[in-house]
Amino acid sequence: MREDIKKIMAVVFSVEQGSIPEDVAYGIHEKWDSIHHLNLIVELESYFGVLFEPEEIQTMTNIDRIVDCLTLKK
Amino acid sequence: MTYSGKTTIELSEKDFSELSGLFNTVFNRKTDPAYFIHKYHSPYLGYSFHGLMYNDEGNIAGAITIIPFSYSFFENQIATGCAVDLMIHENYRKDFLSLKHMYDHAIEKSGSSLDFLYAVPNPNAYLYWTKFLKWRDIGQLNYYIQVLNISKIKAGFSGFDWMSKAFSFFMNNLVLKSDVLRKEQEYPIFKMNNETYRKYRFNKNYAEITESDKYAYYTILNEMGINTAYIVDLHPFTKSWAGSVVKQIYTLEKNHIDIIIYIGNNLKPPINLIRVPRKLEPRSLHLVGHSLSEKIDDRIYNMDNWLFNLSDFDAR
Repeated sequence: MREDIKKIMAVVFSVEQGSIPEDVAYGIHEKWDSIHHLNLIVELESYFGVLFEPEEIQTMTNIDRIVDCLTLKK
Repeated sequence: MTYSGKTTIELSEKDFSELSGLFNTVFNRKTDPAYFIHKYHSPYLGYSFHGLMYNDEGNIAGAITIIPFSYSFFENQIATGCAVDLMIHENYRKDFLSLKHMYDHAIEKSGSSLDFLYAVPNPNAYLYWTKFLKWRDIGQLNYYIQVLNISKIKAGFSGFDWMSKAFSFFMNNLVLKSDVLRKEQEYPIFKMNNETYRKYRFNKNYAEITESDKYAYYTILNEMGINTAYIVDLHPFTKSWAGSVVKQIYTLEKNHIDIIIYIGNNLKPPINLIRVPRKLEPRSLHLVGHSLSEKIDDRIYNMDNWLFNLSDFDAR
């Protein structure tokens, strides 16, 4: 799942997948800003077939939290 | 960062100055505080509601404004708020919740004075409104155009301006002058358009076209080198009047404009206006909204019920 998330991040952030670090986080990675965050959420929803609530969206600020959220949904 | 909600009346001179400065920085425009003093002086309440974000030095680093207007909703008067001028200085965009904090403060400040909120966000902000704030999509606006100088619009067409000019000339001359075809299109949701509103909305930057009880307003802006005549509002909302307005703008301005544009919904285009296909639109414009009152029902989320154009949301 982590590799899938990183693959989606690479597309949304327009960077190479290999350049995304394990500790990638909102506001730390230069491309992960508020606009890209919502684009990322939409792409994650589409890829994994889930829907996130606003409360979840605001907590999904690093890859571990995204994995946790997706795990709970699955 | 700290957040605050204020009405326009509570804004200080320093606030206006900082709002103007922030706007110019974020949108690369040249405005002064007087522009905002007028713009935020709602013709309905006399003031607007502002959600403000202050940096550690106590200066405004982000803002959103809700300007109240009066609308008719299926023959009932309702108070709407148009969300505009959402801006955050690029140094302060790390906090994903900044917009929500500003928005919450503006709404809290408005108390129970508004029934419905609407906005036409840019494509980047659209997801924030719909996905995060849970506003509902009402519908997409259409572009209607008449191209006078196609070389300015489409690269590689430099030798074809004579053709677009000839086409404009021909189409405008096909517009009937008479009102035989006058059949007003009526929609149950529209802004209350009285003298006070028009005095507020259409300043010296707008030209007026009138003919007995009919009127229209347009403005000419240079959009990245393209001299664009925007039809901002027209009344009555008829195919024949729209055609006549386009023809009159063409006659008056043809030597210094490249294109005439009307942005809105539900217009049955006259012969001298072409509706732009979705895939060719310069950017998609969605009307989104959020109800705050039991006076509002789901009919408000149907674009077919609205008479909506640039005058409703673009306050330039």
